[in-house]
Amino acid sequence: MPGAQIPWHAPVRLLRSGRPLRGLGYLASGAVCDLLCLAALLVAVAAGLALSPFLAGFPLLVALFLVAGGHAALERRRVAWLGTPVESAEHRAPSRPGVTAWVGARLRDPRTRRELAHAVLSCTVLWPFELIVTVSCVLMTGFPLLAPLLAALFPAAFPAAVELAVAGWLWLAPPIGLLFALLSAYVLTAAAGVRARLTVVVLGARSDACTAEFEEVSRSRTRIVDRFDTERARIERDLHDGVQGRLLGLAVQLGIARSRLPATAATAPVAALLAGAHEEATTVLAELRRVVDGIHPHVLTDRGLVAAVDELAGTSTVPVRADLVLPGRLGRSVEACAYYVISEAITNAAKHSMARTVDVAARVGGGRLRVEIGDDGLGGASAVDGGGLQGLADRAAAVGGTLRLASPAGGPTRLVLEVPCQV
Amino acid sequence: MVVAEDSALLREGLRHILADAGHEVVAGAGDAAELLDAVAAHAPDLVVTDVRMPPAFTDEGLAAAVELRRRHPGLPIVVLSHVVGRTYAAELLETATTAVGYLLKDRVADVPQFVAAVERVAGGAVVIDPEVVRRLLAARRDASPLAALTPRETDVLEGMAQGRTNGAIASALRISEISVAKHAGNIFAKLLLPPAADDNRRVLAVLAYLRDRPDGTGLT
Repeated sequence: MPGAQIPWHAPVRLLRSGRPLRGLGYLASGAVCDLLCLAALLVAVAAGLALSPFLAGFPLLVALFLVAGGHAALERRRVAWLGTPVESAEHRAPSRPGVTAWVGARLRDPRTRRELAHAVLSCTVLWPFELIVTVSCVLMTGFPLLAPLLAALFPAAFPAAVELAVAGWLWLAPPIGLLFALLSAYVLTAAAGVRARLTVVVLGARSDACTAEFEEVSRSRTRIVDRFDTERARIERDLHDGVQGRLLGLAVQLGIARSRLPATAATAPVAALLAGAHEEATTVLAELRRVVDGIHPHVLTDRGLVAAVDELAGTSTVPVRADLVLPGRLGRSVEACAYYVISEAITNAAKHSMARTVDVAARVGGGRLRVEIGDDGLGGASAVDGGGLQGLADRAAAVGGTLRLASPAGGPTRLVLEVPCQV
Repeated sequence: MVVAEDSALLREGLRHILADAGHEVVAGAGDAAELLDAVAAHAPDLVVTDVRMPPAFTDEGLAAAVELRRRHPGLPIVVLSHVVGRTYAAELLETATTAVGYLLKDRVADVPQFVAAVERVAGGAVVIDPEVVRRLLAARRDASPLAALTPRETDVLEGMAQGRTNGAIASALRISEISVAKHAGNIFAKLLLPPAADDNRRVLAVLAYLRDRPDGTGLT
């Protein structure tokens, strides 16, 4: 609170604290700043409107944001000079470089709206208030204090002072001036305090900073999941291009050797050894293929969710009715999230729920992908900590989505995944 | 024959295997573009191609196979895949219903079986990798005409999908050729395939596997 240390109860200390003078300076400069802001806003609106037939209001927005932002920055400095710093002036950083991204970021930022509101308030209501308070305090104090001097120096300009002097009351003016000075000290300090408080309330950091920080945290979580998926795809490719290829080469060479070895009694022991090595190599190959496919399903990367779910249906021991209608590819992290949710749901249905069929449906609408998986099994599934479903819920949350589970004992089980996506 | 495979080791292996079986590999290609050029230059009797090749390592070989069939209808093509999934197989069979093979790469190591598969494709048969077929069958217990097949009929259909003749299926299953023909007739009836040229119905029966996709899209 700016008023916390102000010695309202001790007039002398108040005067000596410099607060009234600072208040005067704050309000006077405020009137000037706000008037300048008014002029700038008028120019910005005029220029923006003049250009908007060509650029559809875009320059108007840019100009308004710039003027409001500049005014707010100035206002924060002035408030800080008064002794009440305003926290957190940072706007959200645009996600991409360029004017369009900047305007987009500003449009979405609630701070921009508050800055604009503050600027408009300043150049409509506040500057007259500042001007009236400043001028009236200065005149009310200055006139009586200086009345004898003015009457002596400029008798023509101040006939009222001369009349007072003739009547013999002019000596009263300076004490009255002092009284007014004291009154003005209070008025200026209070007015400046109120004005600064308004700035702090409108422009200062509140929950916004937390919101921005929270968004940054979720964005970084999304990045981590995305990087994780990229990494999985890379490992899959490395394994395929490296180990798998060479192992296959080895198996093929062993196969050729086997086929070229003439079948005689003398070669029989070697043939048996070769056959063992060959079989071992093919077994390892098959296992490796299963592992590699589990790391990152190739068809998902290649053909997208519909094909990948079709493959899941092809390997499932429980019949899967898939009804996926998607407008195209949905982005790697969204597809991966949906894929792993569907995969886990089908596995669970097969393993635990004794389901006879699993239904998978997916639609995109309103910028969201909605996947619904239902089975006719026993139900009773739960998202326990560390369990597969919990991990999937975390994964969904990381891409800004939600995973809901309804699985009463006795069934049926229904899983609904909703993820924001761009098509 | 032309062999397209980005791994030089495997390409050489394929060359040896095919040469041992008496087939001449006239050109080897390291990517899809080379494959298209080599086929244009040598007019081979058969093409063996990997699905995943440079530059993007996704499905260049498959796209090249489809393109080759468009340019040279009837050119026998064996596609080697690294994935068991049916998506690629289905896409391949959408454009080619004869003289086409879809085999797992691992199958190359089983030299006699691989050579036999290649020769069946060269003879005009459709050969689908047994593991791909098995996967299709594993999921088909309900909600499809295939569910009506008996286990024995399923075995016979699996044999057909591998491009085997009735005689070969009979010896593999240790049953008489006449019972294979009877099972085949039952299969055609259950899959609602009208009497026509036998080979054509065999291909259609195999395609029924792939057409029977759970999302109802599938082959046309």
